[in-house]
Amino acid sequence: MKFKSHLLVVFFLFCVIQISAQVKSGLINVDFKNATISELVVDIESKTNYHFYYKAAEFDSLRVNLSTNAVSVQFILNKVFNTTAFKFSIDQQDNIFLTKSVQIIADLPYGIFASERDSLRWISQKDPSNVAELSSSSELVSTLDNKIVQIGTKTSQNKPGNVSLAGYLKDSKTGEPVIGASVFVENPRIGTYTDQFGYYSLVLPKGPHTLNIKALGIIDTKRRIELYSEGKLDIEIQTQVLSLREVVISAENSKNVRNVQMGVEKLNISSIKQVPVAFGEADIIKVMLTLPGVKSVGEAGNGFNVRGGAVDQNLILFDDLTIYNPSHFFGFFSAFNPDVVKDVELYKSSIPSRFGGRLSSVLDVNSRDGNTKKITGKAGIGLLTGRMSIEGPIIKDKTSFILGGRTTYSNWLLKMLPDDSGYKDSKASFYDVNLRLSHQINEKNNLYFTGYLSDDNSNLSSDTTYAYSNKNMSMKWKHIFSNKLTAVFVGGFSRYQYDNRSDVNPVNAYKMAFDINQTNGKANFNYYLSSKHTIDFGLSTTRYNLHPGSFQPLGSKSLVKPNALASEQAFESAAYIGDRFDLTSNLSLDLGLRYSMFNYLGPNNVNLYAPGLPKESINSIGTKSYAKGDLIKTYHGPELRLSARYQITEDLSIKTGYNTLRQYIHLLTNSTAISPTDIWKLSDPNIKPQYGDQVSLGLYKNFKSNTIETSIEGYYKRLKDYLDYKSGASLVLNHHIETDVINTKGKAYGVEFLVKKLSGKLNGWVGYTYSRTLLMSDDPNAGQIVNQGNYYPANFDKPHDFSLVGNYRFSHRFSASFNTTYSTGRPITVPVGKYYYAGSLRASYSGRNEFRAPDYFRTDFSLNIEGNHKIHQLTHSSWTIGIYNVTGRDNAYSTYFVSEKGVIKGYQLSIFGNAIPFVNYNIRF
Amino acid sequence: MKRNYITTVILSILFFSLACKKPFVHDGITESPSLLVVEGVINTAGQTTIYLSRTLKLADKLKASSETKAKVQVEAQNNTIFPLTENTAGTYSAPQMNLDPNQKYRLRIRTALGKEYLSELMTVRTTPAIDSVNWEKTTEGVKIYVNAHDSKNNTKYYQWDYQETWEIRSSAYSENIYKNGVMVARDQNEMLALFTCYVTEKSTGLLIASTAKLNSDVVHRFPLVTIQNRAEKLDVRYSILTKQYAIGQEAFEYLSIMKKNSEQQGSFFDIQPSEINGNIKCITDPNEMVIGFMTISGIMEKRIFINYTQVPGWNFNMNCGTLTVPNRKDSLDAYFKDGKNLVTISNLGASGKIETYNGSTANCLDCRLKGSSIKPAFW
Repeated sequence: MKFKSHLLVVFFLFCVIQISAQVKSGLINVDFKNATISELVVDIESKTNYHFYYKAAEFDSLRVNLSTNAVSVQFILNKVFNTTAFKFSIDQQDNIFLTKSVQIIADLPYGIFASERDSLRWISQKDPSNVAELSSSSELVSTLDNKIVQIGTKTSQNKPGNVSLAGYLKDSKTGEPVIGASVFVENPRIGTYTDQFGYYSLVLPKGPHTLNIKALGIIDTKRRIELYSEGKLDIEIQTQVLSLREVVISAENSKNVRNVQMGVEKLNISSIKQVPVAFGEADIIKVMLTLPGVKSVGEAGNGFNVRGGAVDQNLILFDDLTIYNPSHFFGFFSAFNPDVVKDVELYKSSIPSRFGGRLSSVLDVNSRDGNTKKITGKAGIGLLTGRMSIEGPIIKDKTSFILGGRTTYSNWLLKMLPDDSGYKDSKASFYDVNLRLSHQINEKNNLYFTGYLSDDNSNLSSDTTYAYSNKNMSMKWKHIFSNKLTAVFVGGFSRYQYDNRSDVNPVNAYKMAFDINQTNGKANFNYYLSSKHTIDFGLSTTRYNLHPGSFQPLGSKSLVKPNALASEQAFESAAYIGDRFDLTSNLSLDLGLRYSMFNYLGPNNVNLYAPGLPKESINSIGTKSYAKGDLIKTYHGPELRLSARYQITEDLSIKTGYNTLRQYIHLLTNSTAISPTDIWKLSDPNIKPQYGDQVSLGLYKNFKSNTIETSIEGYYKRLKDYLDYKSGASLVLNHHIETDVINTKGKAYGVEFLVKKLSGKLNGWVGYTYSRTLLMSDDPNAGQIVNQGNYYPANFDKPHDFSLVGNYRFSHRFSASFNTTYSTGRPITVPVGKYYYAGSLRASYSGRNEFRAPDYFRTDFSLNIEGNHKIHQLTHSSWTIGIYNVTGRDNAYSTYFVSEKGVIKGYQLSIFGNAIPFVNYNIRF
Repeated sequence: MKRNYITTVILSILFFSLACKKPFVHDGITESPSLLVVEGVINTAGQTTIYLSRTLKLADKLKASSETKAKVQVEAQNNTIFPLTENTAGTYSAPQMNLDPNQKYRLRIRTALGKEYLSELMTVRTTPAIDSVNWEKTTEGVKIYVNAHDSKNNTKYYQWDYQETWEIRSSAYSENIYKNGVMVARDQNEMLALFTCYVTEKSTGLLIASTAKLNSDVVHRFPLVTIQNRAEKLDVRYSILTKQYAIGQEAFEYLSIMKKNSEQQGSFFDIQPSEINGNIKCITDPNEMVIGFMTISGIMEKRIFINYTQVPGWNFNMNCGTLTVPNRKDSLDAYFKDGKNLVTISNLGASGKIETYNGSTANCLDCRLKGSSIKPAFW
């Protein structure tokens, strides 16, 4: 500690004193025989004015044998430390600093003051003893704040001008890339953020700079550099130890104001882990639901709705892989293992041009890179699930892996329930496995592999077993052409399938299957044109191969007639370019253009309908057959992605954006919540692609040096050719699905307020949203018009939505989290009348979604208890205990009406009708 | 053992708290339209009965409001008309109509208020005979199934309804009757009528099935009804008359939605309830919805009987106690005057005089409170 404060003082002094490379001479005699460092220091200090600073412990093994006559102290120290790892430096005040491995720079480099900038002196400024020089041909790794790093080649002709500087930001402990960190210099104000690989690239004027590095979860760092020409600088920074940390995220906060994009929510896994959820296991999707503008129909809802978009309008990416079903066990658990996830980014409004294919949002889930230094692991068990992950180097500092797995053991526990519980025959089993490999081939090439597998096999006291799985694999190659141009090439494969079976009645036993396979390739380039322009461009293509459904007999007694829909295949391709353009220091634009194209390919049979008549079976005029490879239908069009930011003051900005998007793949669902039997459908000649556009405006203001972040965003969104369904439509195994869908027009608008405080003992966020989502069937060919062609609220239209997420850290070992949510009840269709039919009283219903379920309110609470923080112990453990739905309110998930013994009775179904206690034990090793 | 108990408790908390249901009352409904409800099948194999009613407000105490004094007729494409006449309120019937399978027919309704309704043109469907109605004793009770098939693979969509009849017996003969303060012997015929009755009930669910997904048009063990263990239905003898009729695909889809709307709600992935039009439209007000789907089909019937001897150990118990009332006017008045209890036999004392009368509740001794004492013709 003392040593450190000395260093600081020294550092301070350097900044104010004038520089001279000379060292005081005073010749002395010494005679050391097996002398310790303190003997040496006492001896020299007694003979000269020099004063030593050093850390005794580092030198305890040093023994000095030296005998000299009338030599300088410098000479003596050179002799003593020459062959050792120790370094010394002497400043102008006759202070001598002894260090191990790293040398203290006792002088500022020549040329730091304008008066010293003449070319002659520039060349002569070469003394390597005072500067930790690193040759420009080898990779620079900078780990210390107060060291000056020279970058590039010094030439006699150091003309002024701008050059680029690029490199990776890595965690010094684990070697993991640091993503989304801001790297900037103050004067002139130039900055950037590291990308998903921790890569940054800046264009800076030549000369000395102080690079500031700030990011979520890292200690704010500075690097002093001397930039001569284009160069590379990899920076290793220290992350704050998770359990000890005070959750400082100030850089992210300033990002809120300074970033051009709007409607972007980023959460890292430690914020996610603080939010209490049912069953206690950190759940990405559930935490996303606490953010303004994100809703779901209810707790068993599979997926989420962003700004009035349907569930299928969210692109869910896990390391660039499309995840079609992000949940386990009918939506009770999300399919992402919290131990392998690094962070999650949700784009609600400004969707970068590199993403496309869905109308509402992009949820970008990034997994962590494995520790490149040593093998570590984590494990956790809860009441229903257990998980484990292990990570470590394969080749130290080059190749690492992280392997995670999760499963539930509720299946065998369910069997222990008493016979009369009603859940006796339920079965719940699921697991997921993640593997990520990162390999650094050399400084210009990196490879990343991600594999993901999730599998479900469950029933919930019903005859039908629902089995579904996601299988995904991707390979990513990051190549640095030059400091200014980098590229990422991705190849991936995603598969989602389900397989539901029922064998209660042997004659009717069946197996129903569906699968979607997508193979995609993407090339993305980043070009740092100048300090004003950053250009992002690329190409992507996806090949879809769908088996939209098959119905097969199960068992030899089954009379089920095999029925299968023809497979569907298509290509979805896009070319895109985006320019982040800093017009002035206050005004920045992000201009993006994406051109997408969809080709629906044979072999297939397409139903033809009489033109101008409703697409109904009676108007069918035959089918047309296409052979393999035939182009059946092409849809294409441009998509605009524009946003602008005007920074009014350092912590206040206004942003606006306009986006258009196209979607060529649709999830067919007409149940309240997305169910595991819903199928995906590609656009075809009869099903048009969905189209949406959104205009948004936002105001961003940070308080208390960026620790409190506030924003107001408003949006208006239009949807065209959104799919809604005719009453009683049958979606499964429908050979002419177009006769059951209605192309619907939608509009959604809303205002979102968010106050976030992510640092300090008390942290969390408060969000409020007012929003509406209205649909209207305006398709003259629909045949059946919902609600007489008037606007009606969508299933997830919940005008008022409030959520509060708070975490209070009592000490390093105890923290309490709190989460409360209120929202308007979702729209429901209720009976307005009754009648007698087939021996029973029955209900006649209102127009679609004319009424509302009771309001939703829920409060959750949890306590996190960390084990002791001794660093040298085999394992670190923590407990999470809590209560989900503390007030025990039975929120209506759905309402239904049955005629029981001739009387119509209304019931509301709650998913969690009680307070649910949970406990989780986590361990790190 | 203790650990087991704890696990059970924890899991019970977790899973019982899942999916709990409670009554839900919505108070926002103020107005509801009064829609015409049309129910019935135009029967090619016998008498046709069509029942017309109106939808009611949810809060209405009435069970149904029949649509009376309407003019109802079946019209052929060639303008042949078969009128139906109203017997009881809202019930319109006609004797067997000779319908030409090559013709199409529709139903026209003109209400007393002058509104006119017309169905789409319908083809005449043929219904295959019921193969069998069989039953099986399970742990839940007696399950009754229907089996059918169409060797021509034409029917595909089936609907059934049924009528159950069962014989019931009082716990004892009511041999005496306490009338106007005097105890007299009951008339023999009346005594027998109080003792043996027959209860008849109609099905209350929509029973429909589709074989469209199967290779052959076979209905295998479609469950009709389950008689709960120890139910009175099988105390003596039970009979079920199953009626089967072929319906069209549209009718099947319409009835499926009606069934989903009123019988099958309440799982996590329910389809939203919704109203759709059947094949009847209001021609005077095209926006008015009509509930019901009309079908022309032959109604096939099959009756089976189950005797209590076929289900050994059925053990129906009416839980009837015996009152012993002293033969004094005040006591007899207290027990038997209001008719809530009936008298069975008299008991003589040592002196040879009637000392007490035995009795029980009317429910136990007068089966006419639950059914009819008239023996059905098929019994």
